[in-house]
This record gives sequence, C-alpha cells and structure tokens, in this order.
Amino acid sequence: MNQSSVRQFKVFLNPYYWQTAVLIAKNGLARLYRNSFLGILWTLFQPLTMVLVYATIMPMIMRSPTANYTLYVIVSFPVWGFFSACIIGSSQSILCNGETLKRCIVSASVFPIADVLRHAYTFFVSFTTIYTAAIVLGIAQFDIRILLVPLYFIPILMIIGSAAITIAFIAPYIRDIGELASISMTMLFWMTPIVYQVQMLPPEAQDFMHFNPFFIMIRPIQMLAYGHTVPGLTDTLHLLVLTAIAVILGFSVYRICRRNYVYYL
Amino acid sequence: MFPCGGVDTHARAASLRQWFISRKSIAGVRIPILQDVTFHAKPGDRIAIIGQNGCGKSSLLKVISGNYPIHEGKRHVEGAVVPLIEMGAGFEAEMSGRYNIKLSYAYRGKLQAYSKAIEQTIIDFSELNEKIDLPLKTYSSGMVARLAFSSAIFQDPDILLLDEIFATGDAGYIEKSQEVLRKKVTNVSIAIMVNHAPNEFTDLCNRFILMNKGRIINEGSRKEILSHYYKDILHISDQNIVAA
Repeated sequence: MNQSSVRQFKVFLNPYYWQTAVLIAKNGLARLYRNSFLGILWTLFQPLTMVLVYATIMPMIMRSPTANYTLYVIVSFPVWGFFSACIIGSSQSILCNGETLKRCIVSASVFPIADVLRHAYTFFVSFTTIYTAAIVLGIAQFDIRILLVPLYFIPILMIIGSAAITIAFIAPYIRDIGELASISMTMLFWMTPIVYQVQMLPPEAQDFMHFNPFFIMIRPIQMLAYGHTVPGLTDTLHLLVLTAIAVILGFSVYRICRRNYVYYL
Repeated sequence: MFPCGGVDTHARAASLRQWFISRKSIAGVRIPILQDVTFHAKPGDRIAIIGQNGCGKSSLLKVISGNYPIHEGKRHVEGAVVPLIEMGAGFEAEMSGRYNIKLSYAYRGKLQAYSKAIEQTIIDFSELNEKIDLPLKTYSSGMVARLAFSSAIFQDPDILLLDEIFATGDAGYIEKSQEVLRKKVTNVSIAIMVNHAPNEFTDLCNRFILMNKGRIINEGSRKEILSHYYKDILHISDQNIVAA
C-alpha cells in the first residue's frame, strides 16, 4: 500500500465519515416512510409475504420435505432481501446523488455505505420481529446461539458494503451495471439455498456452492437461527477469506474509479 | 497547468455500442472544460475571476476545492477550503430546516464543526425561528435561500471560494448577509470569487483574472480586466461600458 492508498483508506476510519453515513441512512429511511400510514412496518410485510407464499407452496412441490420449512424461509428470506436490496440499490447510490457530489466535498463512497446501513437496519427490524413472532407462535424455539447472529453479520456487512462500493463506483462508467446486477440477483436467488436446502442438491452441485459468495454468507445465519448450531471453523474461515477478498476488491475499484467518476455523472 | 474535461455520457454510450458492434474507437467524447490553466494564490490575495457563463470559472473553483480532478499537471492546496458553490445543494425537501443544517455540514465534510450552538446561530441568522422544524418543502424559495446562505456562511476557512453568491430575501436580510460576507472576504486568508459581472464584493479584490473558453486569458488591474472583458469578449461599446 503506498502513501496515497493509506490516506484514502483512512477516510473509512474517520468517525465523522460514519456519522455522515448514518445521517444519510436516517434521511433515506425518513424519506421512505415519513408519509406512509404504517411507516417502518412496511419493512416486515415484504419478507412476511414471501415467507407465507413459499412456506405454503414449496412443501407441496418439493420431493423431500424439509423439517420446519417455515422457519427455514423465515431465516433465509430477510437475509436474501438484505443482499438483494443492497446489491441492486447500490448501482444508483452515486448516480442519484450526482448533483450533490458535483457541488459538495463529501466522499462519494458514503452514499453506498449509507444505503447498506439503511438496508441493514430494516433487515434487523424485520428479522428480529419475524423471528420473535415465530418463537411466540411456536414455529421457532429460542436458542442462545441466535445471539451470535450480529457477530456473524459484521463480516457480511463488510462484504456487502465492499460490493456496494464496487458497483456504485462502476455505475457512472457503465450504466448497464444496474440491470446486470438485477438479473444476476434473480439468477443467484435460485443458485443459493434460500427456498431449498443445500443437502437437496446433487453432491457435485453442493461442491460448487462453496464458490457461491451468497451461500458462504447466508450459511452461518441459517446454521445459527435455523439449525441452532455454531458455524464450524471451515465455514467461519470461508466467510473471513471472502471478507478479505471483498474488501481488497472493493477498495481497489474505489481507488481506480474515484478519480474521474464525477465527470461521468 | 491542469486541463480538465467532462464526458458526454450519451455519446459515450453510443460509442460503447459502436465499439461492441463494429469495434470503432470509443475516443472523442471528452468535453474540454479547462485547458492550459496556471493559477496560484498566496495569503492576502482577494481574487476576482471574471468571464462569461460557461467559460470555466466555476469549474476552476471546483478544481481548487477538489470536486473536479485534473487529468494533467498538479493541484496543490494548503489550508481548509470552504467552497460556497451553489448553496443548498443536497437539501432534502421532506426534512426539517434544522435537519438540513446538519445535512449541509455533512455534505461539506464539516460535520466535526457542527454543534447545537452553531445550529442556533444559523437559525437566528436565517430568522426562520419556529419554522425551522417544518419540512423544507413548506418554505418559500426566499426562506430556502436564507437557510442555505446561513448554513454555509458560518465557517472559518483559510481559503474561501465564492461562486456568484448573493444573499436573497428582504432588504434587511440582504444588508445583514452582505455585511457578514464582506467581513468573511476581508478576514479570510485567501478569497477567490467568480462572477460574470463585477459586484459590490469585487471592490474588495486585489487581483483580477479574465477567463474565456476554459483558459485564463488575462490578469491585471480591475480597470484593465473589465475593459478587456467588455470590449473584446462582450463587444460592448464605450458608452454602454459606463452604463454597465
């Protein structure tokens, strides 16, 4: 890392950078729900609807039934919703704030980061509420290991944050990336064990899953909240290696693209 | 020397399509903004940059402030820069005036300077009083301009950049704002202001620069620069210059 890279990396360690990101995230949340009757409660309805639809239909068409399938989708859907919203939304994070970025001195990376924080907040609200409701309704049992979810969510947040920065900074140069991200996420939804379990796949497909970053991220959450087991060393290592790769990739793209992006807005 | 240029994104998209289909060059979509510009300022300088709309004055300020990167040459700035360029950028219509004060500090990368005390000073100066907690969309354009001006002006930079900044509102507010702005320009280490016509603040300047078509074409006394600007660029006759 040369001096310039260190200086650029230090931006992310500045507490005011994070305060700005939180302020913009709050602003985004307020803008979304300020004038709606149900407000933040809307964040529950989308995952809840998906859970209801899949929990009703999928057991009918699956060859081998999954034990407590409703809980499986209760755990998987909000996490996938978070991934999907962050990845697809990040393509617009910088483009939508172009006029502000042309006139103000603020790091452009703060906008995708703020969007990720906003989606993380709505994820925690919806996940906690739906999971608590599942415990009350007897669908899930409280297990102490569920409290490890926030710990495993930290590397996930770093991976998704890095991916969001990568996509947001490429978007001014290649406007099609938003559509590409949207199509990719639709494909990846079916390529990741969200509505089916990885054990249902043929062995060779299961091996392939270890190269699917979304599987690497969602697996620890599924293990803690559905399987009530602590992820093993291998799963944790996979997650940490993926975090390192994502952060390096994200920072590299940021370094290359940050210089001239403003002219492409 | 810092040439800087924008990009025609529509032409570029067409060029990318051409490149994919027929492998034609994707070059030639860059729009030159600044060319062959050599500019320096030292403490005590009060610089007025004059030129027509689109001549590159604002872009030069944005290069100095760091908004626009340069493709060639060097940019070296020492000290805290406060650009007052198109104030009110990033304001959120749905949010309160109070919230927008904080947001404007965040967007200028000055959140560390924000405090409840400075917030109150801004509210008092803008004379918005109890309306400060109403959503910005309920403000009149004059109220928004007052909030934008007040949010921007209470900062202590080493280098102050002013892009055709004028206070708006009623006569009392304009007088008060101009007084504050005049003090800022006088007390700051370096002030650089751009205008397409001289105004009351250019009287405070000790350096005058004329820009045209992205280049600095002359530097000299106020009289010399304005004469060059009016005669050779705006093609205004001597009689009309007196009126202007």
